[in-house]
This record gives sequence, structure tokens and C-alpha cells, in this order.
Amino acid sequence: MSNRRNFLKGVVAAGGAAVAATAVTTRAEARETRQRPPEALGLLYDATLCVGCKACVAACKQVNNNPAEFSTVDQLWDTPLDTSGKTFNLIKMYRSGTMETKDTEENGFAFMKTSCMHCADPSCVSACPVSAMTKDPKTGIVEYNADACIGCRYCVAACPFGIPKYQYDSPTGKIGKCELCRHRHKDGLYSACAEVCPTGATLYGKTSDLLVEAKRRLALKPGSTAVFPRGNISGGKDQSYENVVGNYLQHVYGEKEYGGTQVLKLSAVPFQKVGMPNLPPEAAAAHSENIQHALYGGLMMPLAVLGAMTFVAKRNVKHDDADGDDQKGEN
Amino acid sequence: MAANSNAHHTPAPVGGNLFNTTTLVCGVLIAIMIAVLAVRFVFGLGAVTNLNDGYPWGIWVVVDVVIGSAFACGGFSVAMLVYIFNKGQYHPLVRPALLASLFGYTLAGVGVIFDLGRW
Repeated sequence: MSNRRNFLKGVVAAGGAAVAATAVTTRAEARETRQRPPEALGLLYDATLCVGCKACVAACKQVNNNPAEFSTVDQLWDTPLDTSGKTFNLIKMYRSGTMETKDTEENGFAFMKTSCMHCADPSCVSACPVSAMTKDPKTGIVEYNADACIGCRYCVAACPFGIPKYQYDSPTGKIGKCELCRHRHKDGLYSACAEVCPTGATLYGKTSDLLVEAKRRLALKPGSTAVFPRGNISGGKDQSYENVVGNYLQHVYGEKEYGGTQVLKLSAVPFQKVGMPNLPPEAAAAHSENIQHALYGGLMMPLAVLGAMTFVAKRNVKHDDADGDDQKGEN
Repeated sequence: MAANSNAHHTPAPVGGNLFNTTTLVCGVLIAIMIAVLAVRFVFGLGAVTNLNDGYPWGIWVVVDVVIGSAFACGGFSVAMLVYIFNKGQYHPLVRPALLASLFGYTLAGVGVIFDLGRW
């Protein structure tokens, strides 16, 4: 009796040690949060330049063949209240008190663009069980393949920005999200939202160029006049113009968040107040994949558990023809 | 324990009428399910589940995964008790428990197919 107890304890301890050893060895080769590819494409949204005209929202609808969505009784205009399976880009408004001055936290208002951030290490790609959501290794665009998608909505639940959206009104609904107008790239065109933006608040280009431009703006003196590019910063014709420098927070949102995102944002109102979550520099995808790969790497944990159970089963088997002491055993 | 405690019982029909209270209640529930699925396959998931992008998973996932897997777990726990830990006195429970497991995993597997949104 006491022998068996000790033996079982030994088995459990051995199994536990095997699992622990597996976890330790796999963690040693744990993957880090992935960084942006060098040629990553993205957008720079400058909330202080945005005038809230929503030309980008209309252009996005047009080039993605999305229908209007109504939130008013008269149903005259496209008035989506949030991004959806048919609205990939939206300008939202921050309002405080009397709303007297733009880009002021108290008694002011501000705009913020809501669209895919194209994370360096996207949670939606990590969560997708069928690789319908992928990240292009060169451009870094987080792409969606409707033919591979099974509609499980894991990406909807996984995204910290709440970006992939599902079409709940269709029996064969797709996921809808910004893909940086990658279907227009082959025609030499770039993201429609940046193309139509009259003030350059949404700027398209390589994220490395956009980051330099964002840092340049943060170094400018608020209230002074400076030149701002429009359209595509990494090519195309020069459409720059002069405007007043905003009262920026000294923070490029997306430079470090989640290992960096390819869409960068500047704002005068704290980012949490305009709907951008406070995220650590490590991506959740790296964390969750490390845990899962530690547990299931090389099938070591299942094999250890199976081995322990087989051992217990073997030890507990009593054959019908067994004689002697076993027959009078406690069982 | 008696030596034959883990012997199989002789199979025998359950008997009784096929249309009793249990099967009729289940029949009504199945009819409701077919109606709900018909609406789901015409108007989409939102029409019957009230799901939205804030709550992309709802009660269907609870039924698929949580209830279905929990049903299925019971059979395997009893099987482990009997066959791994060799507690033969519980052997009469194994067959009904494994049948419940079969239903549990079938419920989970079939249920999740209808919850998947892209057919």
C-alpha cells in the first residue's frame, strides 16, 4: 500500500518534471515580438490636421465597393457609427464640454481615424485557425482571404483595436477590414483615404518614411507655420502645402505599441481619450504563442501525460489468472 | 469485490413506446432548432443570435464548446476511472457514460459548424 502510494507520487512527480523540462527548453527558444518589415507600408494620421470632412470614409467605401450604412431615420447619407463588415474606415469625434476649441482635452473636440493599424505582430493573424488572415512578408499589409475564411470570428475577438468585423446580416458573411487598398497597388494607385485627404491628415507611404515625418512634426514649434506633405510621401508628385503646427503630444502612437504598427498616429488629445488603447511594446500574439508552443511543442506534454497514464494503467492491471497476495489486495 | 463485477451485462431492449414524453419534448425542441437554423441560413447569424462585433461569440459557442465538451468529458472521466485506475466496480457506468460522450462531442462538432459564419 505505502509502496504503491510512493510509486504513484513518483510517477506524478516524473510526469510533472517532464512537462516542466519541456516548458523550460521550449521557452529558451521563445519567439520575440515581431518587428515591421523594412519595406512596410502604412499610413500616418495626424489628428491636428484633420478637419473631419470624411472624404476618406467616402473614398474607402467607393474603392472597396461597400454600401452605405445608415444610422439616421431619413437615411439620406452614409452615416455609420462604427467600423463594420462594410465600413473599413471611419473618422470618429472626441467631444468635451462646450467643444469650443479643436484638439483640446477640456471643452474641446478632436478627430480620430479608426481603421486597421497593420500591426507588426498581429493578433488576428495569430488567432486565425485557417490562415485566412495573413501578413505580407514584404509590405507587411495584414491581408484577408475570404475564400479560406470559415467565419469563426476569432480575429474579431483577438484584435486589440477591434478592427476585423464580420457581416452578421449574411448567411455567408465575410470579415471586413482595411487592407491598405492593396487591390489598387497593381494599377500604381495607393490607399484611397490618403489620396483624397485634402489636408494630408492621412498620409500614405513606407512606415519608415512616415516615422521620420512624424518625428519632424513633433520637433516643430506649436503654432508656427510649416510645410506638410499630402498623398504619398514615398513617391508621386509633391502636393505639400503650408499649415499651422498643432499642439502635439510627444508620442507617435504605433511606433512602439505591440512591437510597432504600420499605421502611425499623432494627436493633441491623449490617445486613450480618442479611442486608442494603451498597449505594451510586446504583442499578445508572441505571448500566447509562446505559452501554447511551450505546452505542445514536439507533442511533449501530451506524450508525458500519456506515458504517465499508461504507467498508472499498467500498474493497476490485475489479471484474472493472477494468484497469490494480489487476490487479497485492498482493491 | 466480486470476481464478476466487471463483466458485461447481457444486452436487452429498453422496451416501451417510441413516442413518450421525453421524445415528444425533444421533438418539439428539434423543430424549434430547425426553424432557427432556417432563419440563420437566410438572414445570417445576427438575425438569430443577436451577435455583433462587440460580442462576436455568444450562447452558440457556449452550447457548442462548453456544454458539448463537458458532456463528452464525463464519459472519458468514467472510462479513465475504470480502465486506467482499474476501479472495476464502476464498470456498469461506462457504456451509458461513453454514449453521453458520443452525444456530447457530436453536439459540439455539429453545433460549431452552424456557428461558423462562412458557408
